[in-house]
Amino acid sequence: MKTLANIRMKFVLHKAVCLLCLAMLCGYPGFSQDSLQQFKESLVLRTDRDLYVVGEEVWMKVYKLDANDGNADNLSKVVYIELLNQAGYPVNQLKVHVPDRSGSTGLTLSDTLSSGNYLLRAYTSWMKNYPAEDFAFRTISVINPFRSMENIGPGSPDPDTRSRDANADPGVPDQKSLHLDITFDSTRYSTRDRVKASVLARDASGNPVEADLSVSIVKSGLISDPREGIMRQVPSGESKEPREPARYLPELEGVVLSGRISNTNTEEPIGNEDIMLSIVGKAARCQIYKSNSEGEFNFNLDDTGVLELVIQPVDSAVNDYYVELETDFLNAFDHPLPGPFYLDTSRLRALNQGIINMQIENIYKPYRQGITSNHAAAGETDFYGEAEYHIQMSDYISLNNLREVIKEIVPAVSLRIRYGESFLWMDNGIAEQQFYKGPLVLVDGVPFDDVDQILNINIRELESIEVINLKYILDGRLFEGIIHFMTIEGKMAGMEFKQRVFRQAYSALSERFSFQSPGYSSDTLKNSPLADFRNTLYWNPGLQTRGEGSVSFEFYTSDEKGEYTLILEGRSADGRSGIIYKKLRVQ
Amino acid sequence: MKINIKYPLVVLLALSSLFLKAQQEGHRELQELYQEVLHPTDPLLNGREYGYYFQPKVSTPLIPGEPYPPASVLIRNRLFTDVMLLYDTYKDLVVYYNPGNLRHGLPASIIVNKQLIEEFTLNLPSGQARFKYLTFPEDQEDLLRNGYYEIVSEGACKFIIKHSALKKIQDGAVIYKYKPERYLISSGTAYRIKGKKSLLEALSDRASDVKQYLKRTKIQVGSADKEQLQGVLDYYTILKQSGE
Repeated sequence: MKTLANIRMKFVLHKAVCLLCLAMLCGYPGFSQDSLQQFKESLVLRTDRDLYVVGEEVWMKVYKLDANDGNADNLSKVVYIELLNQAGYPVNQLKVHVPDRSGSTGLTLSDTLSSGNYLLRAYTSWMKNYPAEDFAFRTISVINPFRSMENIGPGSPDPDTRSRDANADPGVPDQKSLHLDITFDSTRYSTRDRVKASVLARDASGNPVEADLSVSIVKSGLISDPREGIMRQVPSGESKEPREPARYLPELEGVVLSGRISNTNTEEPIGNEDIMLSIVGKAARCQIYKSNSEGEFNFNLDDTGVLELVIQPVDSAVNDYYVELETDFLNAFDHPLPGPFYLDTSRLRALNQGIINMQIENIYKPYRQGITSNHAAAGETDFYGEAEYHIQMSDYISLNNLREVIKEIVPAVSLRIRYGESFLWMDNGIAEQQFYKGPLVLVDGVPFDDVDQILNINIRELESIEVINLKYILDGRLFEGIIHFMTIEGKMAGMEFKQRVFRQAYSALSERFSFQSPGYSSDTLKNSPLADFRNTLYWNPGLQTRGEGSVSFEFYTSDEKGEYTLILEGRSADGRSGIIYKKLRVQ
Repeated sequence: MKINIKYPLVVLLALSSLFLKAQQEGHRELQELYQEVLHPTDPLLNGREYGYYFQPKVSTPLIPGEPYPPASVLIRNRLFTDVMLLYDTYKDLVVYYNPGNLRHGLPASIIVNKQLIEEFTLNLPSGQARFKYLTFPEDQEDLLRNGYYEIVSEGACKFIIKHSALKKIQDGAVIYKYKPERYLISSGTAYRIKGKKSLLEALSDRASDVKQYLKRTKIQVGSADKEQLQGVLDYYTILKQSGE
């Protein structure tokens, strides 16, 4: 029998579900412009440990996720990582190329840093459209034994400070947990001993899971007690609305270099003008972009290291201009900053040993195969590919000057004089279709139209000349041939532009760091006199379990006995995540 | 108490799927927005002018022939379909042909930079052919040179075709004789497939079974088309997988 209470309850529940639907309908983003901002990225940042001594490397792994469901994602290819001090000032900045769903890098802690807590924050260009609170964070503590520790208080870590280590990892419900297990091939190890370990990744039902893992094995005194929560996942909280209509583009290749070109006198934007980006160096890597009506331009840069950029209009008649580049890193800190650092007096001995280890490592590391910094293979090929003619200066007898070189050696190019100024003329070999404009003249990869100045290059500084005596189209712009002068140093031989150009050093993608620990597979290596006192015994951010849900790895212990802590954590493509800690004793 | 909340739940589920779809849509639209903003010009407009060094009415090294069927090309992870692409079998070049370029003062035929092209597909008389630029280690350079190859299959045994042409003088005129070469790459070693002998050499670990198969199916390796050869390779792969 229906009672009044039942009918009322039914009505209330019905109404609740309808209201929920209505709420979702209101929030439904649609498929047009709004759906652009509906896609939200998030990152999870991991480190090998959380307590470091200056001069050491912080090893990091970053996972890219779809913030809406926590699944692995691979939209942006560049991740910005900053190390902020307690005042929120960035003391180190990296632009990390992450072509896959996760990536790793390292950061060396400068010995100019003061002791204290620092905040690592990571974000992508697309995430800059959202509040900085949604970035990925991790607090690390840094000890500088060479500077006074006046801003460090004795005692135990403040639990409130620890709990603010929000990790920007979307909440992990139990059903999305990843169960990890690790077994070692022995229960005890000696120094310089081989350790073999096997990892199993399973879901809540015990089924094998393909997971992307990272493992670190560090001195136990250099990580916080897991119970304190510093290595614990903390949900990032509610999803935030975008700052404003999307201003920053996602970076789907390399770094997007955005800027604006304006007239120096009127400060009006120079719109619809072909702007050329070139990089000073031995390879010509030019790009052309037509500025929009606001004078804005965008270039993609997938180079590594510090580059010397030149940005100028292709049309040399446009010479009263200035260029402003957008900053890559976000100058917004609307999130909590790291709290004060309290030295845990119960870990003093371990910290002291860690400091000594760091100093020993810094002495011996250069003498053995160890942690290395590798330049990523940059696209060092010329944008035009192979030239029609390549003249290597060392293949010819030494001539007096470049004028003679062009006349005697360089095919298809002749030197002429017009209105008292020299210019280069290119012969395409087709009598009825002769070129009438000049070629694109490059010096060390940069367009340079002052031929008289080029002719003054000391030919002992010149390495080679390349010629393309065909019409060449670069990003839709036609050039009647290309001639490229390359100097031995690749630095434009100190030439000065006639007009003011934008020429600036720019930090492109950060150099790749990879962790390598020494191996002691043979007696010779095992008896090596080189001391090995690694605080991070092993770091592998690239472990992957396959269909069987298992993977194994091996490494060697160092010269230091004691207790180490293994931290194994990982994520699956469907958003499962897990972390385990295990002790390892070296006797 | 039985509460009928069926219809609102159906709506709820439908809305959830719409949300998911909107996310995916957002992802795709972001990629499109990026391409529009970062690479607004036609990416095929990158390269030098293609010079016609032959007399098309006498002989051409370009495939496919007229009327040029539409091709597709993958550049920076973006697929461009219905473009007129030609492959110069003598000079190993990809030519973008677009008479519309002339209106903008650009050449109608442009050699597309090989660094740009991830892969391209041509509609040849023998069927659709997918090409990639392949590079080979130095020890294989005698047999295979870096260049564009048709990728027929990329399994355990890679089957590739080099569409090449030989320059000849015939009746006082220069002609380009089309001469495709077929290769198998098995366990890192490349074999040029001219006939039965070379095929059996490439598939030596299952030579007798493959020989029986050729006999049974009456396939003449020397004159077999790529589908027939692919059939042999599929048979070989099954043999290997079953461990026979």
